[in-house]
Amino acid sequence: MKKAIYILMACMSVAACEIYSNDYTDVDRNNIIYYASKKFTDYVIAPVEITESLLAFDEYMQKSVEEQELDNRFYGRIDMVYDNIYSFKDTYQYPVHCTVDTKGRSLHEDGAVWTFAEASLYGINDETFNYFYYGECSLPEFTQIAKTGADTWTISYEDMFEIELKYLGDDNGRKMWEVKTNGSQKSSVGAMSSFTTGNEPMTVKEMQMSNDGRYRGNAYGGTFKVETFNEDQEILDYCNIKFMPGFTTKFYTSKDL
Amino acid sequence: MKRILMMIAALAFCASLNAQNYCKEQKFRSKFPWKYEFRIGYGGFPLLDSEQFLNYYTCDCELAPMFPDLGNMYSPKIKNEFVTGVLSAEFSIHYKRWFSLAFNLGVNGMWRTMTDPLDGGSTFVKRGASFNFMPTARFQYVNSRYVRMYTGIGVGVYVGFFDGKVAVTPAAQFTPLGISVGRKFFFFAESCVGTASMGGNAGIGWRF
Repeated sequence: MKKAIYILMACMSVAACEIYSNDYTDVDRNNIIYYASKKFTDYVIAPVEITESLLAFDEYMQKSVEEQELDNRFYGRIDMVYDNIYSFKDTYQYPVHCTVDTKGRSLHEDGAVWTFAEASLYGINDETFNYFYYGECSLPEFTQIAKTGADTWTISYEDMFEIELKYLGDDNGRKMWEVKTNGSQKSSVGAMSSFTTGNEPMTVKEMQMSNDGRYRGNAYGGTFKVETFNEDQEILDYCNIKFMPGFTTKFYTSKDL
Repeated sequence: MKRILMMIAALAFCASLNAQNYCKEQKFRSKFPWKYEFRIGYGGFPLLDSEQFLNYYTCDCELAPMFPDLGNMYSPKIKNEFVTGVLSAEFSIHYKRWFSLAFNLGVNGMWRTMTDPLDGGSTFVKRGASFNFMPTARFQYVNSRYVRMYTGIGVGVYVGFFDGKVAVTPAAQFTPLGISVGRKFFFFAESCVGTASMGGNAGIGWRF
């Protein structure tokens, strides 16, 4: 009887047919580039855009009522949610939506710390950044931005990431920033990643990308490195994004041939 | 003369055997008054399994790790999926020349191979099976000595398990055209549409 069942199972296995086949079982070069591009947008571009927006908002709040009425960037776009908690939509560059607790202090004061309830950047596309990420970026709730030095601010969230932004000034009317990022991410499937700008900070500069006269932040120079690990800390993949002024963005990955 | 006597003895022996068989048949029919049939068959595509557990109706693009997320990139991925096809056993009772009631039990095996990107692309297998129990009304519209043609409709229950999931649902099956050839032992082939299997089913049977 047992033999008959085995023979029957063997016959059925031979007669069995494959009804589904998936060709996308491995992480490929595009996946890792796309992931690294997303991290770059989250932890370099979005913080610059959001910080620039917050500083402009802070300057707006210091103005007299008459001056505020002449400011078409923020006038009529700010809601006071609660004491010292403001919500605004800034469309100067990319649309930035923020709800932030200022604790009644200016972001230009030494030691000032603001806490985000929301900080999002929308409408990202590859037209400006020369990489593949489209969509939006958001910083986690309770992320903080603190003034940590002369023209220097640090955005951080628990032990997940720390982003140091230094304002370098104008270059022919275009704002330039230096950004140092270190962070990590964990996933529910056991994979982890780390991302960093390395020892050399990245330079981010406003660039006029379209005819509407608006400037958008773009990486101008530096390298952004992303590595993925398993739970045993073995490296699964990596991607280094190298930006060079005037040149095409280069991606060096573990999946390069 | 001797030869003739031997022939008569042989004929008498055969007649007594026939009489014995006839008696057995009579005895059997007194307890079981109808004709019966037992079949085993194989074939058909298990439609409900595909919907409940497998990815037959999912396009590759949906499973491609396109989104820049660690979970998407490094979660275990389905490599391929197989089904054995439906193996069925059936017992039927011929109440009338034109009508019989069949009790059909079908089983399908299925398995899925997966790869784990976190473990160097190692593969592992997940297995499952499904069962259909389907009382079926069968209507014979050709009922000659060797060939029968019929159509049938069945309603029953489906029980399947796969990868820790269990599904129990109603099931239905329609046989637009079926044909059987033979007498006591016969071959059959039929087309089928329904939750248990789609396409065709063929096999052998025994009538008594």
